[in-house]
Amino acid sequence: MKKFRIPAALPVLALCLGVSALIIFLFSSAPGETLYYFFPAVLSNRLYTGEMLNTMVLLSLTGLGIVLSFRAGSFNLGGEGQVYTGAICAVLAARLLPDLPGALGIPVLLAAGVLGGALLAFISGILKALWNVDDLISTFLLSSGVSKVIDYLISGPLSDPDSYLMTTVPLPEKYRLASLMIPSPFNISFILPLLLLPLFHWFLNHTRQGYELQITGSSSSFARHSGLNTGIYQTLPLTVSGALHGLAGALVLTGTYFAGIQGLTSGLGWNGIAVALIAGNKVPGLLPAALFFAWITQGSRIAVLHSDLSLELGAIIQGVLFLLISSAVLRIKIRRGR
Amino acid sequence: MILAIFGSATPLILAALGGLLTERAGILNIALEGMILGSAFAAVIVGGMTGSLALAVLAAIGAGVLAALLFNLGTFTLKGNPFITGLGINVLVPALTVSISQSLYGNQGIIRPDGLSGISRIGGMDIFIPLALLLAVLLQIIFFRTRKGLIIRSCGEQEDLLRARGINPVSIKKEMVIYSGLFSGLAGAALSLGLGVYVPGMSAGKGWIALVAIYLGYRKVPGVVAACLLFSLAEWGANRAQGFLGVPPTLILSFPYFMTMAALWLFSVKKRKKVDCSGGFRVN
Repeated sequence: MKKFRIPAALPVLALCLGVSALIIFLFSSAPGETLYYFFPAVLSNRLYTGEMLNTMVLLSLTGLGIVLSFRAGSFNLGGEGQVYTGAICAVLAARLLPDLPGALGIPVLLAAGVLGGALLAFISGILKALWNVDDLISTFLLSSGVSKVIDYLISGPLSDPDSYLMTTVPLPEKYRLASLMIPSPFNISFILPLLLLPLFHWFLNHTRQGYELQITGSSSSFARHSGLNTGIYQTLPLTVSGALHGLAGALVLTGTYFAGIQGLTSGLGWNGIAVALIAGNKVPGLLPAALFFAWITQGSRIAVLHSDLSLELGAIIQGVLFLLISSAVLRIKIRRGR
Repeated sequence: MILAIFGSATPLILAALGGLLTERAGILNIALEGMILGSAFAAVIVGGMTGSLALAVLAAIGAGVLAALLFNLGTFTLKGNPFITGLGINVLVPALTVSISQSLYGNQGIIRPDGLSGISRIGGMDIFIPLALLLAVLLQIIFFRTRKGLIIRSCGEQEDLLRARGINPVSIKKEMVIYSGLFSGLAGAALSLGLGVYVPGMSAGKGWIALVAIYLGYRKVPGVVAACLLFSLAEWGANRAQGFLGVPPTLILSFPYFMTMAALWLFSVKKRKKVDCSGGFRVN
């Protein structure tokens, strides 16, 4: 029988919530009310709950991408750019193929997003495998550069001539994922993490390739001397990680915004890293971690909306979380061998 | 033209020198970006209130050191991953500056106090330019001609050796992070006081480019300075290209990242030829 184990990140999460409450008490004139909006109000209506669940779905996908690359010893810091690329590739696909039926069109759009994200990460992966270019820096640089190019595409060549906002032409109705909780954007895509998470868990822990990937991750020189093809394990996990980010980007487009708007990633890439760390780099922890993160993001959004808080509560909490999350001191020690 | 290039290179050089200190001590300082932004903000706020150059610079250094202390808290006191804590600072600082600017000025945008433009100019030249070059020379001397420099370098290369000689490498690292906060503070001050204005997100990837300049410059002071100058030259060229090639300005913003990427790649190709894959640096 498996005993229930307390997640190692629990003290950090508690501390983080404590800090958030403290910030609210310091800056808000009606702290009680603000705290209500910050925490339980998320479940108070369908819009808030649905938005939160939608964020959770997207975060679990990007978080999965980060876990996969971490396990292979790669750092994927380009999540933001990969999500953005996924979204813009889906926009382009919709533009090039306007006449597909919806049931075929949506998968094509998603596939375009997956390809875009994968390609961006693949460049970093192949550079690492061939020339030992540091993936941590190259993913970040490529992603930042590409993000600026996409900003340009959205404001220039792809912009909607009928709109005053910085946005592309909205997707036709048939290419949109229908909401399951009107008016929130929560949609059928929740099935994807439910399929992909167990799949990757099985792959990492119950296949030969998954095992070799983790060996490469924990010691690439050992892996090389054991005769493993480390180049593959330095390139492919990063590529798949980019693919998952691209998928999240295409889902944001087809399920949430329906048009390519500037900054639609809203931190999905960075927050995916936080989610992966909260989950302790393990696939089973991803869903609760994504739930926690989606909840505090949504909570701080509602709190800022409804109260006198003018500050970037969400970003501050996120920053504090990053500062504390990797701490070894604040982690509950899990006893082994008992 | 040369002055313009040196002027835009100055914040980069200062930040890169700060990053070099921690890098030599074995810590990759991701937080440079946040440190620069925070001190640029502090410099304009205090400079706008007091009108004094010295106080503005002091405030900038204070902000940089504060961010460095936070970095130390997360990385050493709480034993976190330096990379993630650095990221935390980069997320936290912009959010805090926006909040502070909102409560002080009631807006979240550009801050342009009166009488601040040209405050750092003395005799037609930005005082930060000679300061940056002076600090570069000083750092070169400290690294290779003093006992302290030897300790810093061995901290990054042979930690056990230091421990065997009764010196705690962690305290050296903490000290270097504080110094990098100080340097980033100067970088932030050079950035915002040079223009006399604070723009949200004005660090615009400078902290990252500074990090890459460190690797491009082979982790040596003259090389790092040269790399920073090279970036500024490229940036200057890109801005010029905007004028006569008609490249849209939003697209120009992506150039520094791609150029840095290309430089990093060429550097790695060259290194790969020299030493056969003896493993690069790694943060974990």
